[in-house]
Order: sequence, then C-alpha cells, then structure tokens
Amino acid sequence: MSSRLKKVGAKLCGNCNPHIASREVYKNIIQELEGVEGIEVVPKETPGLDILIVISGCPVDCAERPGGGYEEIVVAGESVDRVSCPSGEITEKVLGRLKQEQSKNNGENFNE
Amino acid sequence: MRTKQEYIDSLKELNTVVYAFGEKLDNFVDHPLIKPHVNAAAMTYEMAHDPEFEDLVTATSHLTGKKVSRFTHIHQSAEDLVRKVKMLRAISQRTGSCYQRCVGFDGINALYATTYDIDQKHGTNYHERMKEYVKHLQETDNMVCGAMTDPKGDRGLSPSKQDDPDMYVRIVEKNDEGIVIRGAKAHQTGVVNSHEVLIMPTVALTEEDQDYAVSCAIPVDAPGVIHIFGRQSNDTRKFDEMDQGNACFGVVGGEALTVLNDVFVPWEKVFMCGEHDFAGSLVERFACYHRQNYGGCKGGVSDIIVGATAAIADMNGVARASHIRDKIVEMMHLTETVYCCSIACSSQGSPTPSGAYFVDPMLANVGKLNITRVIYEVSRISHDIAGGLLATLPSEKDLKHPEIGKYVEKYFKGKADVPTEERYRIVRLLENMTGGTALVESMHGAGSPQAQRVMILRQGNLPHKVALARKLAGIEDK
Repeated sequence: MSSRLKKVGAKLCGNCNPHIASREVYKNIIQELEGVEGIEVVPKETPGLDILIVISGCPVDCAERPGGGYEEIVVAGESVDRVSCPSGEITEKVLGRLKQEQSKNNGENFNE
Repeated sequence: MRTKQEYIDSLKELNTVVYAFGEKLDNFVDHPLIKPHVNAAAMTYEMAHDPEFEDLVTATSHLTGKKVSRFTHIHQSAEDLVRKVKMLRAISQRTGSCYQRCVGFDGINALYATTYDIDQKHGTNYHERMKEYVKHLQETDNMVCGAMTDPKGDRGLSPSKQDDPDMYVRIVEKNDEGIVIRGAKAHQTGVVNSHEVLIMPTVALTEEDQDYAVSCAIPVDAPGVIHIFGRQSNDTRKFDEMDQGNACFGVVGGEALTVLNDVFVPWEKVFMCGEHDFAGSLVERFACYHRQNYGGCKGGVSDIIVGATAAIADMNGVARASHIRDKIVEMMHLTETVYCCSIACSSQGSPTPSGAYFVDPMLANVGKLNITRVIYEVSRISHDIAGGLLATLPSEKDLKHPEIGKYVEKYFKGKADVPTEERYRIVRLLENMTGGTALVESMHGAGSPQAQRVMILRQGNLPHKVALARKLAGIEDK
C-alpha cells in the first residue's frame, strides 16, 4: 500500500455561462478536501499532480487542462464524470470519486 | 498582470489631454463622465485575477510562455478564438456595458498576421517589431485603443483627393529616428482610459494614397495628441446615481475624437509605412476579428437586458402571463442566435501564414449583421414588457424629495412585496441600456451594416451556388 500523500488540485472553467454555482462548488470541495486523509491539497499547476478536480460550469467542459499525467474528476454542469448529479449532491459525489481513485491507486477494491 | 487598482492608478500617472463639455479635464479618471468607462475596463483586469474567470481571461503567451491577459494574446488555435468569445460574454455579464479593451486586442492580432505578410512581399522587418510590441504589451499589461476610423470627409473621394488632406491620418515626415503623423481618428472607444493607441488605416489604398498607409503605436499622452470626448444620450445622467441605471459601469464605451497634431513615432513602433497594397487586408482582418466579438459582448449585455426584463415583469405582477413568457423566450432565442454566430466563426477559425489564427470571415460578418437587428428587437421587446414607465419615470431627486417623494414611492409601487426603489432601479437600468447610444453602438461598432453586406457578398461564392442550381435544374453547362 502506498503511504505517500496524494497531491490533489482543483480548477474552475472560465464561467462564461454557468449552469451551477461553480465558485460555491469549488469552495465546498476544497473545504471538504482539507479533512480527507491521505491527500494534500496543492495548486493546480503543481508538478507531479496525482488528481485534478475540474469544475466546469456547463456540460461543454471547456476548462483548459494544465499539462501532466494526472487522473481527472470532472464536474460539468450538473454531472460528475458525465453521470447526472443534482447540484446539491456534487460535493459528496466528488468526494466519493476521490475515495475510489485513492483505493484504486492503493490496490484496494472499493465499493461505494 | 496588473490588478484593477494598479490599472486605475496607472491612468493617473499619464498626461492624457482630454476635453469634454468645453473644458480640459484635470483628473479625467475620477470625472463622472469618464469614471464608469474606467470601471468597465478595470473589470478586465480584475477578472484576470479571479479563479472563477482566469481560465478565460488569461492565456499562455506563445512568445514567452508566461501567463498573460488574454487581451494581449495572439490567437494560437480555434480554441483560443472560442475562448475569446466566451470571455467577452462573461465580462459583459458583469459590466452590462462595453469595456473597450477588445479593439486593441483585435488590432494587435490583425497586425501580427499582416506584418508577416508585408515582410514576405517587401522584405521589411515589421513582424519582428510587432512581436516585440506584443511582448511589451504582455509585460506591461497596457490597455491599447485600436484606432482605425478616420473622419473621412467626402466619402466619395479617396484620401489623397480630399479637399482637406487631414481627413485621413497620413505620414507628413520621415527621418532617421522615425515618422511624423497628422490627422485624427474618430469614434475612439476607450481611448481616454487606455495607455496606448494603435493607429491603422481605415480603407484599402492605392499607390497615390501611400502616405496614408500607416500603422503605428503611440502613447495615449504623446505630444500633439488631444482627445475630445463624445457626447452620449443621457450622458448627464452620469452625474446622478439611480437615474444613470448602471451607475458603476455606464452604458457603452466612452468614445472620443483623437486629434494627432504632428505626432512623432519612433521606427520601432511603426508597423506599416507606405505599403498601401496591404492596407485593405489589414482593415478586413481587423474588421472580422472585431465583428467576431459581438455575439459574445452583446450576448452578455443582452443577458442583462433579459434578466432586467424578467425582473420588471415579476415586479409588475405579470411574469406568469403566457405572452410575457413567450416574449422573454424570444429575447433569449435572439441572444443565443448571435452567440451561435460568434462561436461558429471562431470554431471555424484557421491559421494565417504568421501562425496566428483568424476567424471565418463570412460567419463573423453574418454575426455582426445579425446584431444590428437583434439588439433593436431585444430592446423593443424589453420596452413592450416593461411598459411606458420607461419613458415617464420621475427623477431620483423626486423619489428622495422630503415632501413629494412619498407620492413617487406610493404610486410607482408594483407588487406589494417589492420596494418601489427596486422597481425604480430596474426600470432605469433598462431605460439606459436599451436607448440611444447603446443601440447606435451595436449598429455601427466594427463597421456599418453595409460593410458587412459587402463582405458577405464577397465571401458568398455566388457563381458556385449558381452552378449548383443549374446542375440540379438539369441545365447542361458547356
């Protein structure tokens, strides 16, 4: 099992015409991330990023990705990784996906 | 990149000569006539530092690899062109007004492509100078006014045939150090609150007009430069608060006549000097880049008009009426139609020989031509829904008057749970956003409707369409 802290970053799209309150979603996710074991919240441009949480305000998901071989968890309007999700449940869904990614990388079988 | 406050403070360090209402303005930055336009332009700086918007309002410079304001960026892909439109809509949604910085943005992109072409044909080195100029803009984050439109005098005569040779900007002297230019540029959006002015010719030119084939960059406060600020309908409302409607950002960009009295330009800031054969392509490129914008910027402005119209319908107690809802749907339909045009011309963009990406010219012109009708129709529907109050509402001084204010408060109330002042403010916002200068700016900004029609005909490939029709009609062409 890996004991290294996973580097997790988050970024927003440019919010030209958001379907969700992207800034609120971003703030909530970052706040919740601070309490998750095994991860380190880092700026999105950090080299060696493990997971990038992309928060796009609408399904077009045109947020520019920084370079790097990281895993993505994508909020695109009312969806998480293209699965429909009411805006009030997005944070919880993202954290669930994050746990899945952590477990996958640790070689565990994780069932939600 | 500059912050909003750094931008505002930087303007105060300049010696910009501005006249308005017959007076030279000492502190134009804080003057009520100009301050809303400063605030609107400042939003382009503020949003670049906001994580919610920086993905659109910033870009990575292909010259330096650094993060820069998108307003100083040369488009490197169709995606860049799309992001520009999305950025413009996002900023418009926050200002409800023109923020003036796109003209210079379009100027540097047009010149970046055209200087490359000039060098290829004439063996000049304008493109290297242009790259250095772009790097300078990216480093300083200066705001550039794109100065194209000449006063033009008799529109039936070419520049060199005018009775007054100053009706178009021209080169009056060349020496070892640089050139001297004379003339004026009209309808200069945002010039008084810019740092630099990018001069460009306004028409295609022939050999006899070669002195008018000039493009260069000058400081906004260069010796010999005078700006005479233009009037706008309701401009004295800027001395009020509520009656101004959009008190923070004004209605449209501030416009001025910029007089150039023998202004010296050093060679390193000269990007065209006599190469008349490229004036036309520079004008066309700039025009298309600028027409690309309108579905974004006026799309965002229309979003505000739609929101204000829906708000006033609700305050008036008629929001649920089916015809009201249908009219609001029509407003949104028209807004998204023009946005479609801007996205389309951007996504169909392609590279120029310089590497800079250029929009689809047909679709850009179609988009702008649509705006010249759509904005009037969106405004018309808003007037229909908001009611005659738009034309009859008393002054804010009356609303606040100790004796008669209570009558204004009482008789201009809509729904019981809506404070009169809220209704008053929304009506003023709509009144100012949908009248006079705002409409004319959408009509003529980036070129008049006839200019778009000329481009559409030119791009339309009519002979090909005729051949297609003849073939389907069974006509055998020999």
